[in-house]
Amino acid sequence: MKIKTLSLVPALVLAAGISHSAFAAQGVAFVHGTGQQSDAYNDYWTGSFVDTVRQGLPNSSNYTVINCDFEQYMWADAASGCLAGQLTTFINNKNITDLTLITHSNGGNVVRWILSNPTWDSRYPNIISKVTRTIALAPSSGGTPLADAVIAGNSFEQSLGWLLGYGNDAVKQQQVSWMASYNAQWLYGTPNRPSLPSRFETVVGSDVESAVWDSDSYCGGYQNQVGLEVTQNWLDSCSDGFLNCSSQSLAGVVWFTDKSRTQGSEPLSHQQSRRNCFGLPNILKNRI
Amino acid sequence: MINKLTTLCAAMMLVSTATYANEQTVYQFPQVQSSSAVQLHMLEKDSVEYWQKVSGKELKRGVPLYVNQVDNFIRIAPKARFDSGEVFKPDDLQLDKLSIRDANSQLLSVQAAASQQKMQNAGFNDGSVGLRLGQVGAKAMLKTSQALNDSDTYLVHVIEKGSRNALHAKTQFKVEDQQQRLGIQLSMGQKRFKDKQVKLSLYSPKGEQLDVRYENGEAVLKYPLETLGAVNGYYELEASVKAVVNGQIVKRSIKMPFVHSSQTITMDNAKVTALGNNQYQAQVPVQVTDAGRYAIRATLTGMGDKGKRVKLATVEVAKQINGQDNFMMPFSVTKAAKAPFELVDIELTDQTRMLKFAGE
Repeated sequence: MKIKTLSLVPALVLAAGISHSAFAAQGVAFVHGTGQQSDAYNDYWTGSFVDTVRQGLPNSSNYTVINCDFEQYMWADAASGCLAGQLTTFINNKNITDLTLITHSNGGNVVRWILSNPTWDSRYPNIISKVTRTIALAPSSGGTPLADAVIAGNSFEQSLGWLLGYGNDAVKQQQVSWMASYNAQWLYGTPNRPSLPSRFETVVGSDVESAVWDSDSYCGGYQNQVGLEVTQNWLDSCSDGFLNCSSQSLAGVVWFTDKSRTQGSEPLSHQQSRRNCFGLPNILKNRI
Repeated sequence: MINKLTTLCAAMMLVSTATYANEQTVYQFPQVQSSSAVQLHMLEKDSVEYWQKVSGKELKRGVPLYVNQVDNFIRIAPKARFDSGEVFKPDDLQLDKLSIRDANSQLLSVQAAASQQKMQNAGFNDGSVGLRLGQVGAKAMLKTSQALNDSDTYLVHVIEKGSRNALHAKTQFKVEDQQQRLGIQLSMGQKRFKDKQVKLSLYSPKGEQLDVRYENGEAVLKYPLETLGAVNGYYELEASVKAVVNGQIVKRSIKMPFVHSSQTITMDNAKVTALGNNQYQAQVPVQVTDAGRYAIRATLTGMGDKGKRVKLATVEVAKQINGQDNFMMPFSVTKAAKAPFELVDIELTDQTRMLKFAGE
């Protein structure tokens, strides 16, 4: 469902010549990755992550944690449409004029969809005008060969995804060649394409520590680290266990690669880049 | 500061837009946009993997494995099957019942094994298990002693990371309406494949298997495609080949997406009117073949001081169109320019079906 009415209030305020800074309200939205979330604050990010990051805001209550169905294609109403709805409500309720988006994984693609397709939904222009920066944690901008591997030989079962519970549209979308086509035609911010309307800066996870004896392996849950033995069969030597570094750095600009800023120069696995590991929330707090 | 000013400019455009046409969604980009190549013609990809479906009966008897290097990984997964209106999911595989043997039924060493739990942690939550063959060179057969149902289906998926024997595919990305041939070039190093060496499968965006055959570098579709656009996903062409390289049998599979396209929108010449105060309006007549939401993106140009054409602003407008209609594109510019004014870098989008077209 596309809403046909433009939200004009912020624009009218600006057009009337009232100083932008006099009403500037900074906010941050946390945008999860693939999956259907109903309590992303606890289940996806964890409270300690969100509550640390938002301390970087002038008003720490100006934050929202998005809960949408990102098992759908990024353009689906349940995905970018849901995100647009929750961002619009947040912007309107808090009078946000300067919005930072913090995304993880496929959340970066859903945000890029909105930023790259400004008229797809009549709510998008207002959101785009408020977003001043996206901090994309381990974005799957170039897809992942693991999505190809999961889908391989599964065409029949994909049609039964609702029944069997896997091979969802978001996984299909993140196959490498599919993302290449979206980047070439539908999304901005990759080389030889128009730039995004606001800064899209990425944090790249470059390695995974899964040694049983290393306590760092346990941050974010040890079970999430050990899949690497399997996933490395499909990934480059530089990866976060789910995404190659080349995919994470394909769109926008690289803000930093994990080890260059984390405590103890620890790498951030794909799970750790959304958790309170190695000082990441504090790094984000100081950035927003 | 510049960012804030451009934000202000964009916001002011939202105000002026609303007075033009309420049903349109309008966006003026903060900066003039470069031309974006909307036509993606070809996709290229390499594969060092293969996958094949086998029955429970075959897995009990032994399935040949084509593994030529120590850096390998073999994934075996239960696959659903459809029978008499019901979906059947096979029994889970027991890792300790799987073995790899040579032609004389002697056990070959397996270096590492991945349990269902470990595979699930890696994202394979379909009941997959994994093995790594430690000894290559012999004719390897994958076999289970588990009492599987003969008619159940399993997937055998092999990757040889870093293999020099990669299958390269270069395929046409856009297939026009009624077109029943699709270019697909397949090669492995200098090797090209004969028709009988290539097995093709075609799947619709909904996962239905469709009839297709390989003929001299092309996929020949038995019937015209039905689903237009990419909004429900892509069609996928899957190719499997087997080749002999340096005396070894190399097997590879590859999957290539493509879109079924039709020119659902066409435009006539745009008329640009100067409204004064650096405001312009372009009226673009369009016709559509299928009702839906459509968009136009274009950059307004005028003549600069030195008689050269200069780009002034880029605007995108979208609305529901059911037949013949006009896009009304409002431009607010900051650079001075003179007539004649023209639109360039025009891109038309069928947002309902997800198709892109270059404008005239």
